[in-house]
Amino acid sequence: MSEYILEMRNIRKTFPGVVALDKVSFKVRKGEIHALVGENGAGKSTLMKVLNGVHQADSGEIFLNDEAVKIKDTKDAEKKGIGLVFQECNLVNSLTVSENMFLNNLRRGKHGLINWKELNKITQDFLDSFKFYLNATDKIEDLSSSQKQMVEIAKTLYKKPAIVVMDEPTSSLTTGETEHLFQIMRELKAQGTTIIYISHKMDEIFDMCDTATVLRDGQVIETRPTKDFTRDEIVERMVGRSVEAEYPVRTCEIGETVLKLENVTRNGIVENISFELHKGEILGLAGLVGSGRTEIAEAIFGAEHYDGGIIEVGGKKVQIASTADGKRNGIGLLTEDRKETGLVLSYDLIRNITVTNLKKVRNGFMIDSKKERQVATELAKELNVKTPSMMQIARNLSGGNQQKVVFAKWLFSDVDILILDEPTRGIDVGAKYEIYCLMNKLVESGKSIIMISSELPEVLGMSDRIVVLSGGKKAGELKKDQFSAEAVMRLAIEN
Amino acid sequence: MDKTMKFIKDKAIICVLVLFIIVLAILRPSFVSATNIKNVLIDTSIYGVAAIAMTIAIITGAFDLSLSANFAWGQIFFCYLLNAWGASAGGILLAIVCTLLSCMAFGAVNGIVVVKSGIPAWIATMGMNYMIKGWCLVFTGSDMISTTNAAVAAFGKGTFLGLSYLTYIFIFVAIVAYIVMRYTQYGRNLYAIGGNRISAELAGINTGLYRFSTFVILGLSAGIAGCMYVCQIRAGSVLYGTDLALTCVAATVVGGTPLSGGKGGVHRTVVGILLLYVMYKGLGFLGLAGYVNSMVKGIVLLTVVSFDAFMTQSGTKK
Repeated sequence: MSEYILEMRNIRKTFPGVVALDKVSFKVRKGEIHALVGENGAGKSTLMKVLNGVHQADSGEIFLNDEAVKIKDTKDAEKKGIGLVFQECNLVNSLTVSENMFLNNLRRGKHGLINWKELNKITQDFLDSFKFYLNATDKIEDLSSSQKQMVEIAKTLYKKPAIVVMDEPTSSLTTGETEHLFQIMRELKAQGTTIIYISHKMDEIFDMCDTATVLRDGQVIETRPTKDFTRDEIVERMVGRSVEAEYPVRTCEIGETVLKLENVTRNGIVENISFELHKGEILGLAGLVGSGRTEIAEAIFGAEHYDGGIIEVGGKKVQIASTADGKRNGIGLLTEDRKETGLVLSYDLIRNITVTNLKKVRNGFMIDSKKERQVATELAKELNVKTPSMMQIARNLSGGNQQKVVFAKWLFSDVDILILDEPTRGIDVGAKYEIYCLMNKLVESGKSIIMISSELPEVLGMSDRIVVLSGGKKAGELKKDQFSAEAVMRLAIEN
Repeated sequence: MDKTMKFIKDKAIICVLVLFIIVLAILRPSFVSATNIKNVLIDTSIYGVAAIAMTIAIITGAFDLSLSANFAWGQIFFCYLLNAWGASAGGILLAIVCTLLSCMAFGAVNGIVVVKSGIPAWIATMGMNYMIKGWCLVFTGSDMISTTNAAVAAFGKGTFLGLSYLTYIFIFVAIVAYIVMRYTQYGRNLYAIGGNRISAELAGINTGLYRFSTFVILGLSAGIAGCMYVCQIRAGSVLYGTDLALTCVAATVVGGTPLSGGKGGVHRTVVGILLLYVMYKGLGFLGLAGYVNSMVKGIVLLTVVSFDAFMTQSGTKK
């Protein structure tokens, strides 16, 4: 037997009009953590779907322990010891953790009935053995999104797969939870399980992975032990060009106060939040998940009511009771979940962009379709949205391009204050850089931005000033010369 | 291949309709006589007006089961007002306006309940259906109400270019609805709300007001259909049109507007309601008894929806 547990040889997979994978050869050693990196659309997920039996390759072979295998479907993959942790949540919300773990696999006891007590105990023992800190009898709907992700992982691990595929498992986890997941991964590795790890985050790759394979445009660019790679080398291979600085510099004057919050409170959620935002400024809003960042943003935009405090826009006190009020006062919110709440995925790009301000393309009562298309196309071009046509439906775009469409939508509405909630989540390196440049361009043109982000380097790299929230309260404010990861974290964990 | 599939899917219903008419024309040439066409279109027009409003609601992600009772109320109240004020042209006009306003008021109640309380539309409007029906019975002393108004009767019989005036009302309503849904900000926002309500709300659209408005439109359509029905029958009763709401849903779905919202269009519903009525009447012409109508409706609905689901599935599979 060779040292490789998995070998995929010359895998080719095409979809109508696209070659998703082109002669991909991919080898994984037994017991290692193997990073699979590449920009969105590079073919990582497709390759893993071929391995998992979701897609069938057009040509090529798969070997497991030197034995040629055909993987017919996901059930078959599971039988062969391949487990995939889904990026999306595939849990039944109304059932408990243990019911979800045993879904379709409920062990029956005496008289062919289910022994819930025993089942819950097995689940709890298993969860405890990996220190999952979850209750077997909790309902999924009562869990946070990161806990759900943990259940998803537990569900896969329970089947004791020899190879575990994790597709960006940390994108919805906080720093603490990520560390927790890493402990679980180390435990798995110690037990001899092989892990294939898909991620955009360089730190994780270098901390956790033994080997890295870089994919670009459906081809393997290079496989090397991570210790022989430098960060820049990986990024360069991903994007196929040498990378500029991670955060572009901007030159712009910071002007008068455009937005002022005074003791804004949402009962039981955020308390007495005060800060100011200036013209031409990017204000970073940092804090742990659950510290109230999104919640205060919702109040400013009018998506949720606030119970007390004063909001001033352009020096005038305003009442913001609805999203229409927010928009009227020149405020726009780019939500953290662009698929669920930012876009109408089944609509084309034109409709998605113009929805915020149809007045602009109206001629009397009627929408001027020609003008609408023209304006939307210009915006999309300006933002460098990569799409075969403006009639493409939003679902078919990559994450980075979808995010650009969300930007276009708010630029179209002519708002002056943009609140960006996790603007680069799940977006690959190249597109991230474009989003940063776009943010710079916006503030240079006189707009103001509040950026919420869980990625500390991004907050530090892009902000002019940082407000840190902790437990629903403002923990502090940092000026540019006070910026450091430690300073932010110290404030974030204050309460 | 993809394009052909899309074409078949888009035009299938029209093809079925045309085919059915051709077959009928061959087997029973009298089906395509001018009188019969006029008569089939009268029935189509009355329900068609309501079906258009139902389609608008379904596109927005709502639903109205109280449409049947509201339609009955429209007939009853219109007859009642005609008997009171119908002597002069101004009186008739006032009767129409008051009928429409009262039906819109019922729609508004639906809208407030659904938007403010968050109760699912189908259950809220089902309750409303019983309530309006009960109110109709109280109002008429559980009797039917009739009118002998000559002007209204004449309007019901009147034709222009071989088609009933009522059909022109339907054509007018359909065209206005089509333009509003396709070319105005109002219509576009309704689509956006049906496509993803949260996303629409977060785009700064006052979704509550828009959703409320669709219920008022539904009420208006019930009123118009009610008045049209009175022109035809010269009477009103809760027993007339109990199948209206579900027929409208069927016409919408058969036409190709999915219940999931955000897609489809009112022009499709025009074809949908035509197909349903050509089928009923056609089968009657072929000698099937009237009471098989309901079965036919069921079969058409299931066939069309299954076909659509099949085409959608084979479209997404790669």
